[in-house]
Amino acid sequence: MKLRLCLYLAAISAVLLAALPSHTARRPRYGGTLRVELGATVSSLDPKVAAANPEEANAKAELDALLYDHRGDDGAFVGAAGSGAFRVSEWDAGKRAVFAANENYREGRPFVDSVEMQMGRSAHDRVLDLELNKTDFAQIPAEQARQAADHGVRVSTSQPNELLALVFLRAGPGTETARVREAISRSIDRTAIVNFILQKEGEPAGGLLPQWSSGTAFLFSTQAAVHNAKEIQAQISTSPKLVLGYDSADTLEQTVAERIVVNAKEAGISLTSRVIPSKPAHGTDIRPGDAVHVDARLIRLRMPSPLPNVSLAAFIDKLGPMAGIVDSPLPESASPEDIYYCERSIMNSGLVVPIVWMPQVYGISARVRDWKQPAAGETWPLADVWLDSTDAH
Amino acid sequence: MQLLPRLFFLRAIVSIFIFATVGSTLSSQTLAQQPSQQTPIETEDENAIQLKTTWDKAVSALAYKIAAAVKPAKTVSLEVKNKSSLDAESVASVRKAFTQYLVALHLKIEPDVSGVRHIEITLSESNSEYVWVAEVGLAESEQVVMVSVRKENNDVSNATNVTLTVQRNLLKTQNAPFLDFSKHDVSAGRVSLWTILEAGELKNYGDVAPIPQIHVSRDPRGRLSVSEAGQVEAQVGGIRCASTAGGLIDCSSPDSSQNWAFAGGWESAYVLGRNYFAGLTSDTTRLTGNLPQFFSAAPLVLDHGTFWILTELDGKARFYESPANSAATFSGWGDDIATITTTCDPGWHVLVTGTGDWTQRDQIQVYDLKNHQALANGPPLEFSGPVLALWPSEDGKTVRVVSRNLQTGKYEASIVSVSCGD
Repeated sequence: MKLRLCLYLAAISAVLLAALPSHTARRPRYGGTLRVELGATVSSLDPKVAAANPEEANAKAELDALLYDHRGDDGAFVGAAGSGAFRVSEWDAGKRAVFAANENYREGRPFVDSVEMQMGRSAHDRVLDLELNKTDFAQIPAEQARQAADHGVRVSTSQPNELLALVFLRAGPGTETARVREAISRSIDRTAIVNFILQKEGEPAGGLLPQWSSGTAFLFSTQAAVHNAKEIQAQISTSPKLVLGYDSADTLEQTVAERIVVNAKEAGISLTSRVIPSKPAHGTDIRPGDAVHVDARLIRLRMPSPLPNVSLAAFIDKLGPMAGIVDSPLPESASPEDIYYCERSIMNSGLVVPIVWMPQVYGISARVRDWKQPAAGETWPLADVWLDSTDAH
Repeated sequence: MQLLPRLFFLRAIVSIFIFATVGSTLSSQTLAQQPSQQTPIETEDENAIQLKTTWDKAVSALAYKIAAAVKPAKTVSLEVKNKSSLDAESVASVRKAFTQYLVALHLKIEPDVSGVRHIEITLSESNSEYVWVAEVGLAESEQVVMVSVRKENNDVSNATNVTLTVQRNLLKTQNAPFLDFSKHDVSAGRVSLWTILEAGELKNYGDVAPIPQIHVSRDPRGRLSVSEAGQVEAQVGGIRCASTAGGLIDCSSPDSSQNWAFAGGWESAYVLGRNYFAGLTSDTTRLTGNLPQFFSAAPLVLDHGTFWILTELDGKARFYESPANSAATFSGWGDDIATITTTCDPGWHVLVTGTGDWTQRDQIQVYDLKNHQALANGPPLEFSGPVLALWPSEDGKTVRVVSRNLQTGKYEASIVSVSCGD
């Protein structure tokens, strides 16, 4: 009888224990090493040494955010390296770095003792290491997010804040070229690009700002209109042969460029794709007359702020020299209507063809707690995360 | 783009003209036709009143813009689409208001047939605002006008006075994080005096006393006590601040860490720059010696001494009758706990926060302590974000709760009590 009662109580206990939450904490815990993998190779932390490409520039900005206290008015990090939440304790340029918690940081010591970074890890390796619990944090290409989640990786996805757009570099003043641009824009099947290339991580883009930021993105059509594109193409007397460039280091750009070429051909437009050297991080982008001849190119534009006027102004600054877009700066007090009409005027020029909005996707190990997806323009909040020892592998 | 400034100028002139000509007529007509729309709802929730007013202003402004855009047409068709998070009831109210304003502006609204200018209003939104957009006319000659309305927190009132075994009375919300609070009612409750303890300052009835920032923690802990006479005592990390005879707040030197006082004459040092305590000590009670490091401590004050439940750094809560060994261990509890008494049950109850982290919803569950066992009593009280602080009141019958609403991003001050039955 006693044995039966014991078994019964044991069974009840087992059920109750199984029902308990897996995490037994609420307040942050201190300690541990956060393992991070980067795709980029950062060659130097010296602010005077320019990054070789945008990927390195982005990664360097993330590292700077750990090491420096704050940004100045111009957006650049100011003060001494080590005044931030972490200090460099080991540095093997382009390969590995270890950052130790700054005990005297103005906003309080980070919860983790250190951050260990492996650089130059391919997207495939990063996802694999997340699956195998060999790393705690890594950025994942948006197009691989679904697959990573299917393989059990804990995925954190931002609101779509990076625009992939086609920019015409050799925009002639005539009506004919404007019609060609319009025909190409209408021929692109953005929904198919989102569904098949991005694996549904993102959304078709019709304007220069996403719906969550401006609230007016729905006013810009994203529908493919091949029939219209064909009609426009038929009205053009001398159809030019155009070349679309994409970044040599960007596989997503390549895939999207090839898809755009297929769409254009379906509308009778002569468009070919061509690889172009990776863009320098700081300096001029490819323009008409450069060694590699392209008429248009794909470009990624990441929003520097959730505020629509700030992001639109930044995009205009970036696109202006490439496509010859001139616009007066948007004031801080710009109303949604002002922003919409500014955006609309750029769209009407046809010089920029938005393709898709993509999110930032991160893979995070189960033991990482209090991870909050950074908003557009923010850096990784690694000083705020902590490691739950109950989830350690 | 050179045309843009001219377009704005033109629209401004048109708007001013319309305001000047029909504005006075509209205000009298509108008030006469829809008194319920214009009369503020009498409620103590200021947000709700403001929400109605701002929406009404936005509808009015957009109606004026539409009226200017459709000129010289007198007959229009109207369609309202919702692409936002507004519920059907709100959409219906907005649609009705648009119709009434447009009618007041001498526009006749008819079904959508050819020859009638079509107005398509889309209730859209961004993260921070509702954006209401009107597309006027046909595709080729379409004009777009819009207004925006800042989103307000109008769901907070729903959280007050939840009728549960554990009850919550939401008292205050604010954007800045805070550690503890005190509300002192005067003039028969008509006026409330607030003392708010933040990590860097103590706000006492409008006076602000800075708190020295030396050993800063990313998860600062602070506790506040305000006597009936208005004497303030606050502890933030290792710093203690208190009212002086002159009525000012004076804080201790950050060079010397001040112990926190706990029930029954117990005290503990705070681990500087962290978010936990070094361990309870007492020389005067039966349970002498040092207890381990902890996040929060809930006392059980009995005739023969004060015993403690501590939430410890390993994620477990332990009940101590002696420092050497814990009498019971409780798993699955959050890090913030407090004991509470009720009028209907002489036993001790422990309020326990939930598990997870600060990106998740939270809860407070009551446990009955009987024979070294903690038994959940009644359903938990849900919070729409993490509970950041849980401090017992002086009389032990309620607890002060600081939480963060993840939907609004605001920090909330609540009093939580336990009642018997539903």
